[in-house]
Amino acid sequence: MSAKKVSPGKVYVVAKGRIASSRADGKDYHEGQEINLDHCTPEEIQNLINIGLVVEKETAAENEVNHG
Amino acid sequence: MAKYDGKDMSFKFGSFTVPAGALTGVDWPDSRDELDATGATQDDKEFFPSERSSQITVNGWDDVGNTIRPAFLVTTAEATCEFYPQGNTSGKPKKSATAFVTQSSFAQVHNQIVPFTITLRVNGAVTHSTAA
Repeated sequence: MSAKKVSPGKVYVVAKGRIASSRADGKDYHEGQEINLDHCTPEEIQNLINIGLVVEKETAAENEVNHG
Repeated sequence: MAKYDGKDMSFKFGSFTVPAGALTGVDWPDSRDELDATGATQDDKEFFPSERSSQITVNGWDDVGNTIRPAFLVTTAEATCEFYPQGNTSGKPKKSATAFVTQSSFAQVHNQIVPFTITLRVNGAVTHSTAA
């Protein structure tokens, strides 16, 4: 489980190999795309991170630097 | 490993969501054609994976308000199907595709609740996603 505190105001991107379907706008977001999670509770966002669906944008950028 | 039942499933065709309490079953298998590429001297069969295809069967109870029949006419234009096996909540799986109705059946029998069975043909790719 991530130790970072999640909040609806942060920017999240879809994780590698995953497709997220937003309940807010009904659109599908593919890996690397930013997705607005303002409609989710912090618990829901944390769960989406835990199941590997989304990552915080800064975390995604760090991963690119480390692995890219 | 937790199991689940179908109580929370949800199915949407275009802008129409099958009403809560009316939906009893959704069967959405995916299949892929295979080409037999086995030739002389080969003891083990060889196959090429080929085109994918899919069709959907939706079962439920008809409604007095007559919302289900007109939503699934065979003349209805193809639309996006959205299936949530565990309900439309965050983190749950979703399956979607464009499809058109190929069969619409409302088999009416005296003194029994009227069921319906709708069959849809998927036109194009199926998307497996997660609700967010």
